Amino acid sequence: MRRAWTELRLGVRLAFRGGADARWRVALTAVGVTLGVALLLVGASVPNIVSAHNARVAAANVDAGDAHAPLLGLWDLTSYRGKTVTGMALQAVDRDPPLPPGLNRIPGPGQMFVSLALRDLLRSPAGAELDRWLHARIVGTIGQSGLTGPDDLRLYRGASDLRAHSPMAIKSFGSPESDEFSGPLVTMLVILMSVGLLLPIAVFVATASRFGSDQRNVRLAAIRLIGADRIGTARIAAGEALSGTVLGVACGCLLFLALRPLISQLDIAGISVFSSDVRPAAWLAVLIVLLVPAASVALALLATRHAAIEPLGVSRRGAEPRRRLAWRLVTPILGFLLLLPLIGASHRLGSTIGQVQASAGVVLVLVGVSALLPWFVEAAVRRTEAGPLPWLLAVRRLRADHGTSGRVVSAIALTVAGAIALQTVFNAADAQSSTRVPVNSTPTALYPSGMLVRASDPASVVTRQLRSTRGVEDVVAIATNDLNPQVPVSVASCRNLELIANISGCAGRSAYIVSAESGLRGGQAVRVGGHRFRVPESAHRVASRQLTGKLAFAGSIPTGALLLTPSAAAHLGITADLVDAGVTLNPRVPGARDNAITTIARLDPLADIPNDPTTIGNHVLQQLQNVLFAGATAVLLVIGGSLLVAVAEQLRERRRVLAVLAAFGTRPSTIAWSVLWQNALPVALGLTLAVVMGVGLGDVLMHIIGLQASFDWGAIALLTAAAALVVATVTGVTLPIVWRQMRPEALRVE
Amino acid sequence: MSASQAARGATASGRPRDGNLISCTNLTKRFGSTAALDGASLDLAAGEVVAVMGPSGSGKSTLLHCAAGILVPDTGEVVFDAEQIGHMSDRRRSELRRTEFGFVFQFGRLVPELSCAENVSLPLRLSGVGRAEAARRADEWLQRLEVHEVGRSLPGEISGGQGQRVAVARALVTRPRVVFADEPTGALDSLNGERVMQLLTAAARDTAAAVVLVTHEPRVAAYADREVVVRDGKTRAS
Repeated sequence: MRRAWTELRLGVRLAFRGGADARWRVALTAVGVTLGVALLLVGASVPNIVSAHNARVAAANVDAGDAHAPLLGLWDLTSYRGKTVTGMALQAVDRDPPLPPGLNRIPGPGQMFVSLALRDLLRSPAGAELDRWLHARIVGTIGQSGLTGPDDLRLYRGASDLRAHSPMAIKSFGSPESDEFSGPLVTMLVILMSVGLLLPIAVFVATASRFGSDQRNVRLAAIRLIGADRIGTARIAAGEALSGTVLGVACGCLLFLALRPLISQLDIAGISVFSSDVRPAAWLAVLIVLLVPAASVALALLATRHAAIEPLGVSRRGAEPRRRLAWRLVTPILGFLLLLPLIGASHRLGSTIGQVQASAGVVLVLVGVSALLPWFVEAAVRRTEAGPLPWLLAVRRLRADHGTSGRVVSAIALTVAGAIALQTVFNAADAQSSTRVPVNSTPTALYPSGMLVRASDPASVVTRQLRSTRGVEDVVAIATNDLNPQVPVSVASCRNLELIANISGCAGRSAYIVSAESGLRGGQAVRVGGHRFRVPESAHRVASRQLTGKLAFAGSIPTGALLLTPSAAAHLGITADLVDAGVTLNPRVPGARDNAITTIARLDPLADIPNDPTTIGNHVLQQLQNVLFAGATAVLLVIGGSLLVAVAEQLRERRRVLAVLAAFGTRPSTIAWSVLWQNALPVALGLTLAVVMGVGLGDVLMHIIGLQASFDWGAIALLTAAAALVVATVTGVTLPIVWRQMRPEALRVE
Repeated sequence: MSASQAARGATASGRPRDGNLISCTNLTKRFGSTAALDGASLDLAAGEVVAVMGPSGSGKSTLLHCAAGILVPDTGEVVFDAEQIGHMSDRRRSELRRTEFGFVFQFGRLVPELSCAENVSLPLRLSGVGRAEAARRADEWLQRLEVHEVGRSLPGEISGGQGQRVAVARALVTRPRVVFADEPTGALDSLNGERVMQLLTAAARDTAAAVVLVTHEPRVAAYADREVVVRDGKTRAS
């Protein structure tokens, strides 16, 4: 035991005190592992981030009560410059109403509690227009427990007239669970994202822990010469490998802690998380801290096993044995075999077994990319002989040893394959959700509804005020009596009534009954709300029109509706003060839409204003898609960094060969081209494999969740190009190292 | 001094009387605070074999590197074929090494991922010779150096003696005017060392190439026409 400990310590000493080269290799490994571990810890925090997000959303959900509930509430979503402001109007009807999370009291009419992010926005010039829309005084801020993230734009405002808007009766706040992040589609996406983004990082960490393994083998051979046996040599190798890795794990943990506050400052198109929610799952954190060093030791031992370390030097076989295809096909085939039974059984994704099956399937298919790539590259370079000298040097180098850069390219291919599969599912899901979400607003039209306007002729008030708004071209407004009436009543001017029904000769106190089959007839006594009246004898039966264009807001006028002019409504004593409108905007007037919303907010701050058409879409999908691109970019950048380090390390190890080539008078451009081909060839092959596997995986996953096959080739090309760009940049950045290593002066070290 | 040396009539500084192909005069070269060369001189006539001898760290390899245009001396001049190497651009010096010089190093220093035949044809291909022609000429030289059978092997698969013969073939395949050999037998046993030296000098004489031979072994130096001794960065004829 004591001997083992001594040998481990010797390995550590060799790593740190073996001169500048040894320290350089430890530093490279540590930097690589630091980045990888920090990203892995962020990834391991995703389950907590998601569950904390769900808990926060659930805490703000309302538990509906009956008519005697102590609080009335109305969701009040506003789209402002591409951002969603989540609001709720509240009206206490009891002395002891339930409080929303993060509030210490219910705001009074004209008052509001806002999140810190919203408060900052409202106080900035960028939020001036929104401030006019909200038209209420800030009396406090919402506590962290009531927000989904630090950038959550949220408000609770007081109201006094909510009943007219058909509010919810609220018994309490908080529901057992949020369903925002659930369902087979979202489950599949979360699985794919976790696997697709974390696997390349794991591959990268494994690569980083093997930097400089050739030099290590030479050192170990020298130690064998002075009497170390194989087991002792393995322990020394483990000690050396552990040095950089343990240092990297420690630095990675510190980097993660340093990144946490920064993560809370990130807002990726609407996603923000509190730094307190960025906590890795304990078991995952322990696994990372233990598994990374263990994996580095295992890989070091594996590397020493492949090279026979003998007392007189490292003896290697001159040619690498040919890679076999058969076992490399096992992983992807097994992966697809696990996934295929899930087709048509997406409900199984709701169970733990189903999720494990899907995760394992995805992992195996993606790992298959890494397993197949070395064989694919070898098969390709074995068949390429002819070509100019740089090509020959590159191909032969690849044939001799794919080495570290090959492993890093595997990580890039894995990332791209995972991202393509994800992008494919996103694309199909987007296509599906866009058919579900009704587009009830266009850039040149606005359809506000439920405007509560207390006036003798509310529709005329709305029409007049909106028409006098800059940028508004035309307005059609109709007042209704109730949102869920027994007898629907629509009150509008004759001009507007003629637009919604086949009416002629409308004047003064005209009244109409929609549809001939209606049971309603002239002279019949009816009750609307608490008011009782008789339908005028003169009321004509009319047919409703197909409502399109600027009248689309009104929906179809229901059978049995009573259409009245304002004079007729006043004569009958009917109150119809909820106004729906169709507003035509002039696209040439800047800010026309904002101006119209300001006018509507003045008429009724609780009016329902549909989303900005540019922001309509599936919110959750958009959030996940943003995370995908951010994650894929981060992973590609980190892997690009590691590829850079790997190529630099490889050039360092080959500096004598490069110096000899330089002594022969080899042009630097010849070597530069060979380095480019050496990097580009595996990348081109890797990306080809990634596209094929990614598209195949995406297709299977779409079938599992029952979506139509739909490929966004533009996005796939973009991802592929991004990966290719990373490699081209790395090659460009390493060229100065090539020039430096090619100085024939390097021969002097011989 | 050998008979051939006497016949050629070397001067006390090691300078032959006429027909210099390379002239190195008063070279100094420092690496940090260490003076590797301190006024060393070396002349080489066409077709001549010169052994540069001296103990380890005396500066003999640095002298070879300066003479070959691999290193630029701090002071002094190196003239090749009436052209000052120190005044040449890096590109021109590379071209010179590619077309006029050949190199043999202690451990062969073959490119490990290329086969032995490809290693030999490498200088030709660098000079723009076509693949087939380069392969044919490489094959010829491998036969001449008695290692034809290892042409398809990788350097890692052959013995040190075979590797060094492949390296000699690589140095001579372009028919250079000067071959620089830095401890060409340093890593070989005496039998293999002898054979490599026989083949190297015979081939060099056949092609009329001059040879600068850095060694500390008198047995190897005996193959040279004359010897120059380097000690503490200074040269003197032996």
